[in-house]
Amino acid sequence: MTEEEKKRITRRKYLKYVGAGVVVVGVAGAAAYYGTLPPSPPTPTETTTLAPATTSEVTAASSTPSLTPLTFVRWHYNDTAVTGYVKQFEQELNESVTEEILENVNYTSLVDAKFQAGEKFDLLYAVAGQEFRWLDLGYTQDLESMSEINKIKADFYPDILEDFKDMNGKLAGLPYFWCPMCNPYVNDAILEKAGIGGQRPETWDELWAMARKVKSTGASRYPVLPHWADVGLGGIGWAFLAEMSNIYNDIDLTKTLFAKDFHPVFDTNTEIAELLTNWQRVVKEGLIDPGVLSAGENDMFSLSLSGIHAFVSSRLYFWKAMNDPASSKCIPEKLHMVPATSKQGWGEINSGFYLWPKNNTDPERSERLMKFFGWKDPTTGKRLTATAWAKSDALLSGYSDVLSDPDVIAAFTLWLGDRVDETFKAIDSIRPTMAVPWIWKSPVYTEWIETGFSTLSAVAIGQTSVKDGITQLRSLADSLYKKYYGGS
Amino acid sequence: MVLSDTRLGLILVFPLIALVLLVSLYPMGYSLWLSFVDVNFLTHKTSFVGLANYAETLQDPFLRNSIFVSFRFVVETTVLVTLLGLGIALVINEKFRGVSFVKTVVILPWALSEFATGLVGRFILDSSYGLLNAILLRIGVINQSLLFLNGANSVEWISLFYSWNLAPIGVFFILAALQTAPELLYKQAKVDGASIIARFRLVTFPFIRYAVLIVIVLSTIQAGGAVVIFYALTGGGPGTTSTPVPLYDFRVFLGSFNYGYGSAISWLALIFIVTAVTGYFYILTRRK
Amino acid sequence: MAINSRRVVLYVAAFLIIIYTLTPIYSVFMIALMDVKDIMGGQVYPVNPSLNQYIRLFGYDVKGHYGLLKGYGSAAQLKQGLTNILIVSPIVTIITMCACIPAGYAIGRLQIRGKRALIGMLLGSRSIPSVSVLIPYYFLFTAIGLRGTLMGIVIIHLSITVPLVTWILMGYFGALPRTLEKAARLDGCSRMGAMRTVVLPVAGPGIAATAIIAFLFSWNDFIFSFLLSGGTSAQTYNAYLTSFFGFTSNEPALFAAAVTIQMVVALMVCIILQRYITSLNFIDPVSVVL
Repeated sequence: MTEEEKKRITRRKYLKYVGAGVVVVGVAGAAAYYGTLPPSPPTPTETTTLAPATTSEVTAASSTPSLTPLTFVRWHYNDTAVTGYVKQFEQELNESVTEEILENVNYTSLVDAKFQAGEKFDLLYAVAGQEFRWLDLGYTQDLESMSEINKIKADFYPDILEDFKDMNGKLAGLPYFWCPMCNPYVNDAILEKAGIGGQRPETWDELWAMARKVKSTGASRYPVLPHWADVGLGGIGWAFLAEMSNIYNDIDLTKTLFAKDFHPVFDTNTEIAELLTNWQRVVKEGLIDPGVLSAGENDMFSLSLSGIHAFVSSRLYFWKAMNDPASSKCIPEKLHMVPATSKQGWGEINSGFYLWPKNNTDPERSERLMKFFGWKDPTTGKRLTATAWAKSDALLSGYSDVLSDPDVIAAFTLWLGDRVDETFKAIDSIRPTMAVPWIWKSPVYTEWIETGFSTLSAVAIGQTSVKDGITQLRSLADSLYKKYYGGS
Repeated sequence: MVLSDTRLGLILVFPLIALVLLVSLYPMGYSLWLSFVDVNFLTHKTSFVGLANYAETLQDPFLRNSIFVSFRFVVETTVLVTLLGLGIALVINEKFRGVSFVKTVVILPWALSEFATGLVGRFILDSSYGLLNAILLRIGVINQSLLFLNGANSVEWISLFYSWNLAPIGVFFILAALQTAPELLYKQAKVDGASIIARFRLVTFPFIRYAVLIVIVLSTIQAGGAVVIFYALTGGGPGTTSTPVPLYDFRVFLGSFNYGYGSAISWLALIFIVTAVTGYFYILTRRK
Repeated sequence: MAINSRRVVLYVAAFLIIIYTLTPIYSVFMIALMDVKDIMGGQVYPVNPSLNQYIRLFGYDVKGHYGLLKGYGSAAQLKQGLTNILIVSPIVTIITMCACIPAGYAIGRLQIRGKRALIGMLLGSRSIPSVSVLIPYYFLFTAIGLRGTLMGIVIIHLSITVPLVTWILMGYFGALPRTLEKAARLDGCSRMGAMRTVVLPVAGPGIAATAIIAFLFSWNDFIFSFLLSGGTSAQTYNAYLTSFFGFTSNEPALFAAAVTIQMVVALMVCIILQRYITSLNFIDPVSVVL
């Protein structure tokens, strides 16, 4: 055989084997179809491990050996403190709990995977928007059947309570925290350099105008750090909702984005076009810190510590770190929260929830676990986590009595000094005006923003035109609406 | 008992085949089946939709953008890895003092995981604490830190770091091949008066041709499937300027939970890679 | 000694190669040794270097240059992750070598039918992007009960390392001189005996090299252990690193320190066993396919 022929034959043989490979895979695929693993519906199965106990548990086993431990699914946050409270729960109520701590970055998808695999757990954290989605998908249950539910509801702030109710008015979860987010904080040190120290914007337009002044005087290279991190939940997606709501005076965003029945009402000739066009303009003018557009949440937070911005739209707990001289380059006394006036509201609600899974180890025991963390310790009557998070990280509580706790006020004074009063007043002014998006109550939102956020970012940097971007977002919203509610 | 070659071979090989079949083919088959269905979690229904998922890939603007990003990335990485591998291999093939030290150093980038490589990229390119900005500022070339990971050039930077990570494999493949080229042929060509380039083309290259082919094939396969480095370095941003197909696929699976569509995308990606590899074999094994 | 221009070029090239190779590694270590406030301006060499970040990683508070630095809150999980990968990677390496040495020997040296099909299948299984098989693996493992177990991770890693190592060893064994076994057979050894007593010792370097390859793959894996054991106590160190992307931390130094711990082991393995890599002759797998 000549070299030529050999090569031709081997090429033919190669293709033959590729073809054979495809057939084999196809047969395996048919086997899968008739096989034992449909991806849905989630069947409640016990997850047994074949391997010996090489995996150790984070919390010690309880005193009652016959009790199946409850499972508490959460993300990383103040792990030592939380584990401490878990142990306290175990001791006080003779219980046994296993903690499963998931990575913050993909927390939601990891929890989704657990739900779909039918795993049992008894308490979990959720970020804003997820609490209703999981309720709708049937993974968690509403709290109306809990004992003492009316007492619990009475302890809430009334406006926060609305945020926690699903579209049928049922309470979806218990407060883990809330705080205003995507509202602007000002750095007077930069404003003073620009000659406008002490001035406060009352609308987003005024903010951009002041930013232009700051840039033209050279006081700051990037006057504004908006909340435009390149992620859907926790970045530009949330900032988009906040700004739409504030500028167009649409607290639940049912007029400008998604109506009460969740179908999209925005288009290339509605308010959204004006907002996105303005975004493109301010990016082109160099008013915003370009690093934020490829930043994750953590990086966006790091950028805020550089102290070079006149305005940072941020969250209360990020702002607390900005006030910390150990890691921030900002001068604490010069930082102020911008209060909301009658002209326009600011920000958006950022909240975390404790949710009650349907597929749990034991309804009574899991209810006790929920209440211990989400309401109060039944023995002492103290709100353990709510008070602790307020003190350590300025995470506000949905329960109205926490901010009157002298310990909490003292903790806030530690980092705010004599700005405590002005800050509390500002929070009070923002709370009734901040966006509480109705669309969060539908599973459409998460899927829409997890793809759509990259469009928002692409429009902002000019990679996509405003018209194309809105068309993409709209068709995505339409197909999701169709998928969940049929029709169009 | 005297076993024939074939039977002995089969006994030795059987446990391996069983393991590979069991663990690799089943998920592949399952993923193929998923690409023909639609999974709706709200109604808990899985319905067969034929080629609808594949049809959807033709109309998806996000996917189109990701394909451009992937293509750009794969081409840049393959070229870089091949050139770097070739260049470095040629240098360390020579004998000079310290060459064994260089050989030890050259393999080090390969020790990093894709994730670590992405982080390393961040630590160098970051605009507030990155090494590159620090050096440039120190020398005085610039007086304000630059944003390297902007929309226009993110892919190039990621490709640079990914190639840094992959190149050692190329170096050692080509080095092994270089060492089979007899010194004598080389000397003869020199004596015959051939230029450096001619010497390379006529004497060296035939020996390393197959090694270069393997390097190109491996680079394409690896770069085509790379997702972790994008995740760690830029997260796909800004916008979608650094979202390659696997990362977009990842988001479709885990962000939108569209398992059917996601599987269709990944099978198309596989077909594309296999086609590219077949193409390489065809081009590079043709007798010149 | 005359200054040979060729030598100059070589030395310059070697110098550039070293700089290019080591700078990224240097940058991570540099940041890991500094305090956050020092890092924030961008430094070229470590300013106020200290091992504080590493101490914090173990969970202890330490007095830094600018004030008290708190210990890392999830230190216990990191330790768990490190333990896990220290168990998983050696096991994967050992099993891979035990399975692939005989297999590589058989395919490489013996004449068996279906050789080409096997090679095609091996190479093909490597080409599929990992993303596409993640969800099927997830459901498969959950149903079997392997999700969140170390054994599950071992199996997944094996499914990647075994085809790869077989492919390499098959070429390597194929390239060894034929005379080796002939000599042993003449002395009366069986086929198996010949393999054990003669071929294996000679093949030592190649086997060492592929062992590194298998080990490194398992040690560096992120995507499989992240999805298939994420959130459970079986998660590996590499995947735990994503917890540094968390929402209230600004700790590039701590992050860098954590990354370097994982890097150091891999770097040392490479440095010590580097010379064996050059002994691998990769040419033959290609000619077998063609």
